[in-house]
Amino acid sequence: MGRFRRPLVLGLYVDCCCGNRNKGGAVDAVLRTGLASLVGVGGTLVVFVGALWVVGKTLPPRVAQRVRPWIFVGPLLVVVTLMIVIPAIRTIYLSLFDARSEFFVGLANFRWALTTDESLVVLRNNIAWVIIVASVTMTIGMTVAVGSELSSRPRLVRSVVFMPMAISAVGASLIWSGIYAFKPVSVPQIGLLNQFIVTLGGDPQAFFVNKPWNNLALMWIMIWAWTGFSTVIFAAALRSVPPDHIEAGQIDGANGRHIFFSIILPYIRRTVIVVLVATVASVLKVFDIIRVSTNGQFETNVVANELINQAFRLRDTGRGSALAVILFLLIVPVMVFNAREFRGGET
Amino acid sequence: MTARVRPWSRLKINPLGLKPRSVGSILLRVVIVLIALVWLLPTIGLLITSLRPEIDAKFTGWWNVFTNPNLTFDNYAEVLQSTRSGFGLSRAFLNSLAIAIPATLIPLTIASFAGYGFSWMTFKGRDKLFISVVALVIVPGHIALIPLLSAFTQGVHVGSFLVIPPTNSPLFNLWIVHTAYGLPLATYMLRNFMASLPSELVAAARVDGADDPAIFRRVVLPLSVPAIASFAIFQFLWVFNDFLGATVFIGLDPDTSPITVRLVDLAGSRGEDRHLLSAGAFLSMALPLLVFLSLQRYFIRGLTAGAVKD
Repeated sequence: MGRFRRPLVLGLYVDCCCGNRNKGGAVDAVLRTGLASLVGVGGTLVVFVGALWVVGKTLPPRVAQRVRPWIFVGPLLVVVTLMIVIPAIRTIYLSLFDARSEFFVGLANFRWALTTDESLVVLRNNIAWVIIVASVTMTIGMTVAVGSELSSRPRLVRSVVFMPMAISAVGASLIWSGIYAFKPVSVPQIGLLNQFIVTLGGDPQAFFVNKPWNNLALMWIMIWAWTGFSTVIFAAALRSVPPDHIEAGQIDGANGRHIFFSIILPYIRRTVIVVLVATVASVLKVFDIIRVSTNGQFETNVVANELINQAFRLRDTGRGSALAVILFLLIVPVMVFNAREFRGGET
Repeated sequence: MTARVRPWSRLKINPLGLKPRSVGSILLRVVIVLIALVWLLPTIGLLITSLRPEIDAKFTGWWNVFTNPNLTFDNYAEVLQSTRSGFGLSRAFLNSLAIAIPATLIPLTIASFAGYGFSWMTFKGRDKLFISVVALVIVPGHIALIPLLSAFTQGVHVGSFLVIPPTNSPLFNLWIVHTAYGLPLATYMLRNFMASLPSELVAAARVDGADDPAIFRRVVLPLSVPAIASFAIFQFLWVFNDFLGATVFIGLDPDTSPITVRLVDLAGSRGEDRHLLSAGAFLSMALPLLVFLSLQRYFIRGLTAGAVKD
């Protein structure tokens, strides 16, 4: 339906080269991939170059000078307004309506999200995720950063921890579900962790099922994936500490702990805060890991997963929107903080 | 930038005062080795599992490969096929590229122009607009999912009047979503980099009679390649590895769904086929790892810019 009512000519081309034509063939698929890319990128360039050309040709130079900045920044402003600002406002509005967005229900969706037992578990989990994942990744990250700075192969040490940054959360979850794999005690274990436990004489554990420790097993996947982020930034920050600060401390007779906590840490305070902010923001949004590993069963649900569940599986737009707004409100303090840090960086 | 600064070990400074053979020094070393093992072993385990025959992978742990070396590429051949028994991941892999390449280049183009506009052109409200765009950096995509999906599938109505018609193109929808949510960071990175270029260069070009489009194309853009590369790697890895956006805006449509969505579906329906799942998972990681390992320098430069003061 609506095949000829497209908002942009671009959409039409996209459909023609990679839409619903059901063809097999690898060549066909490669061709379509290439064409789609060309059309998307070419279309964007045409908008800019075309607008600049038209302005340059038709308007007198002084007027063109005035108009041009808006060609440079206009597309950015249009896209972020249409795709970020307006939908966000729309979600806030929808959160005050019922499941099918027909009747105004006031704050009923928020009452549901903040008072019912099952949704309180969701909020509890999100808070636990933020505290545990942020503190553990930053602690390990700092340890590895310091260790790598002192070692003779700093880049190698960091690369090992940084490598998971390139892996998708889906991939990371599949990697770790191999490590966590559980078999009954009567057959050989295929998960490394349970093999350890059995070798030491214990009973194999179902790591994704046993409440509440299963949450820790899931958090560990994110810790594994995210520690590299803080490691790399902390390592760069450690190098930015002027050596004469450290030497001055040593001459004064300060020991290693003193130098770290009273000289180095205060000096890189801003970096630590930026890392904390970025980590908290991404932990709050965690979704893929839960979805792949447990899909929120066994009391492991988090806000983002419940949001998708309510909005797209149960088709409850009101509750889904309310959860989105709650997630947003949890991130707002972080955002304000971040904006201030950005502005601090300007001056 | 931080590249000029050398690590402590090279500078022969030892802030923690650890003597080479002291307990503290050995302890730190042991901890680092343990962490390295915990970080490497799971991925190695996945790689080995993906290379083992079905029976071996299903009933024995991957570490048995050291006593019973029995490896095969059959699992990879099988997941790449699009027959009924196979996973059809070659198509999914191409779909991932068809999503990720434009969703990297489009925001890069838009942000390059905007970065120049915000750094070298003057207009009313320039700095306020820039700050507002940058503040959007942390708005989670989650908040826009519901209205965006409904706008894409049903169009936008004001009253009963259709203002924006539905798009009917999942691929286009996902491009524009990733474009929008990549733009705040891209604009921030590119604008700051472009603003740091020496103003004499731009002034000289202006004296020579070049207008803004020419200065942008001939002077500023070529010099901004490092920042462009940093963002391109970020965005490509982000989009290629994305699952949330793809599952909402594309879902399980075999013609367009990317490898992450296919893998999650298969983990649910074929979870017992560990040998195939690990081959698929490793396949999905191969390209990002390659991009990342070969371009790590740019990636790290992008990460640390702004977070570390020089």
